Amino acid sequence: MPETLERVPMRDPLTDPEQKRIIDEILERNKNIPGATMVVLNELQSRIGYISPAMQAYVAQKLRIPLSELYGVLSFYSFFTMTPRGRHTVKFCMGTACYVAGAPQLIEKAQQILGIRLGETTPDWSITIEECRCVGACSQAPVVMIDDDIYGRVRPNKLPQLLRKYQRQ
Amino acid sequence: MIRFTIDGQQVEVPEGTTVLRAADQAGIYIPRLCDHPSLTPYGGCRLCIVEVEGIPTLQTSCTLQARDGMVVYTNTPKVREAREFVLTMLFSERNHFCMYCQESGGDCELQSAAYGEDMTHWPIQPNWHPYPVDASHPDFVLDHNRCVLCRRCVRACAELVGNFTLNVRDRGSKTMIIADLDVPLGESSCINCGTCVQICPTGAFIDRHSAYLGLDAEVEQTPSVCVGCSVGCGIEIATRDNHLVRVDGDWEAPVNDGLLCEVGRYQPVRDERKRIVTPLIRKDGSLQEATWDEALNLVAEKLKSLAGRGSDGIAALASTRLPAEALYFFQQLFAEGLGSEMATSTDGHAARSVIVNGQAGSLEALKTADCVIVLGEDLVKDHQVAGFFVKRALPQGTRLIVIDSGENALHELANYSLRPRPETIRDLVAGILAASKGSDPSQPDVATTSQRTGVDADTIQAVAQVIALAQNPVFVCGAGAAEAAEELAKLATSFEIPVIGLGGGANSFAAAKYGLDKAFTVNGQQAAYLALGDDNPAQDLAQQLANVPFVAVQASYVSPVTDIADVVLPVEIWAELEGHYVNLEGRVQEARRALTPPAGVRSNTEVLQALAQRLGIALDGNWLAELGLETVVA
Repeated sequence: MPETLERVPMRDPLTDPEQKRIIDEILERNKNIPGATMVVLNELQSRIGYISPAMQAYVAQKLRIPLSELYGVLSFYSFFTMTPRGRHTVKFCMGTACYVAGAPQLIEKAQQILGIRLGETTPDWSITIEECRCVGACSQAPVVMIDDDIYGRVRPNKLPQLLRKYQRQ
Repeated sequence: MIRFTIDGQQVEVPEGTTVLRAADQAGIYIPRLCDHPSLTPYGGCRLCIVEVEGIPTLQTSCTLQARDGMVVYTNTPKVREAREFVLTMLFSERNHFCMYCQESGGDCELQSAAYGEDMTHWPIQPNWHPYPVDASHPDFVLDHNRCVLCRRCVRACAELVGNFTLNVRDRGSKTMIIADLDVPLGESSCINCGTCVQICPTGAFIDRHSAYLGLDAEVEQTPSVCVGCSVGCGIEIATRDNHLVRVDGDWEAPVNDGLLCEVGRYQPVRDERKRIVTPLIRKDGSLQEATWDEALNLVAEKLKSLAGRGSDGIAALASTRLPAEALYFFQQLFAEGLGSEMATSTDGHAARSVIVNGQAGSLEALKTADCVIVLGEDLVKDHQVAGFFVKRALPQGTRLIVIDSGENALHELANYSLRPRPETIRDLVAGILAASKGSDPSQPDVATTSQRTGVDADTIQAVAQVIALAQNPVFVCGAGAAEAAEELAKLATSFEIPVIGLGGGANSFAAAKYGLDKAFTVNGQQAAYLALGDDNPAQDLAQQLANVPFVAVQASYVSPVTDIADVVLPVEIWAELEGHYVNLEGRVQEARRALTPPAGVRSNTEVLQALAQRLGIALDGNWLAELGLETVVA
């Protein structure tokens, strides 16, 4: 388990001076605020894109909270990710309405087109696919959420076109 | 006081008591899984639900505080139905196959709760999805299939031990107990204290050493005291057919509240040293079996010829793992009877640091402290249970100041970590005292102290201020702070701060009181008598004794020291002996016999008495009175 910077693997955000500066800035700003864990994790997720095991160890040490507790919080909220994401995150709603309207078929199609499994990222780092719970747009089921945009009544045959648009960006 | 009714019975409890605890006091048993008297209420398992008049839904009695005039029912059809439903869900959530589990048949709280509800089966299928089994830890196995996610282990690891290794990951049906960043237990930050194993209500945590060796009803439990260090934790020794099965922490014990460390819980069951069961005498260069009379006569004869001689007489060393009775006889026999100038204990110098201001501090002070100053002792490595009390208080905002020039794992956890240059602890403590008093011409100023110790002046000022502002500060000092005892006493007196002196071995307090507190050195003595008991002799002890013409060892196990001995007298080990131990607080505790010693082995006191008799020395006097304790904490 990487607890010190010397043991952090290559390509970790902590080894990139620019990203390390952002991480330190976030930690410095919140270090003396009680209950700042969520705020820090939120900012790290938004600005770095993911929270690697080395980053978790670093944050736990700086905020003086147990490593296991930090991991518990991270894994509890699906918003946080521990592996790098692609430039775009495609989420398939698996709420009841979308499930019935064919979300599993959409996921199957997406996995075929992109050649990756759910939760994985394409080799060109363009797209990550995930499932999610109800996004509150049941009337348009099945719903696909790409970054912050919502696409309703998506049919499997329309999916390649939609994904290609984002893959090129 | 709060007055209310449980099942028609009037109950009176102090304010803040939960309904569950009140019911326990009234003798009404409400089934529970996640609740434990040593942990804060959690309300996770939902098994302890009760019906309360005026509240439409069932309430978890473990989190419900009793209020005046409350009317509680624990056994209505509605409660029983709900309880059975909760149990059904718990059983079907994972794979609870009782017939394969080492806990079933009385030890499992989940199974017992189901039997208590007359359940013979549960109507929903088990999960069938296999959960992982973590067998990476040397002392226990974690079988997630049997886990009910009550989080007792997680809370014990944090609230009691302060190690924060265990936690839970994910949520809902994916929830799992994890260690650190979801690593195998064997690779985690676990310190092998085994509290999670002891507190687990089901068979999820499997003790490698005692699994399947006997249920609680089949083993004999002997309350005793741990002799691993001077904390003196209360233990329950579980034995069966004169074999050691397991050592548990005694939840009722006043010192440790049920907690144990690796030294107390697992070292005894891992012990693989070779036992000596007959007296041995060196003949023609090798140790050969002898009778007790031969061996004792030989030792007595040798000792008699050297009695009263000073520096070329007898060197005598006693382990602080021996009971107080034996240490007292040892002191009577060697220091007084035979006039040995070098009669001491294995803790020697360390034992002396125990008592500052002639008064032993109580460990109880650590439980309410808001500022702990640790000097010269790594509480993560030694005296671990005292360390638990410190570590677990840190998230509540307790300030930790560590002063140690050497390696100390506490440095990482400390708010102020001071690393003075070697042998300048004394100056540093004096400097802190000076800084806290403002300008005192008799004391060195902060700048000088800073220069001498290598500790930054601002830090010294800050530490002095933290100590002065703390409501309940406590000093914890170990062997490394012995040189600063005088300065420490001044600092403690000026702020009325209790000092907990850690000492060394189980009976180092008694050894110090009996005057067995010199550092052991051999310098021309003609004979050495070593009362080791079941202790592991120090690395260089055999080397030190290489030039002594006659070495007699009173020991339980084969060691480098018995290898060079001329006479070996076999004695009882910790679980076999009866006697008393005086912990670092000056608390006198009784060790009881849990195992019958092998034939041919004698107790430590018997051996010393037999020698005294042969030497014509009278061993009288009272060991307890000679301790000179003003008040005896029993």
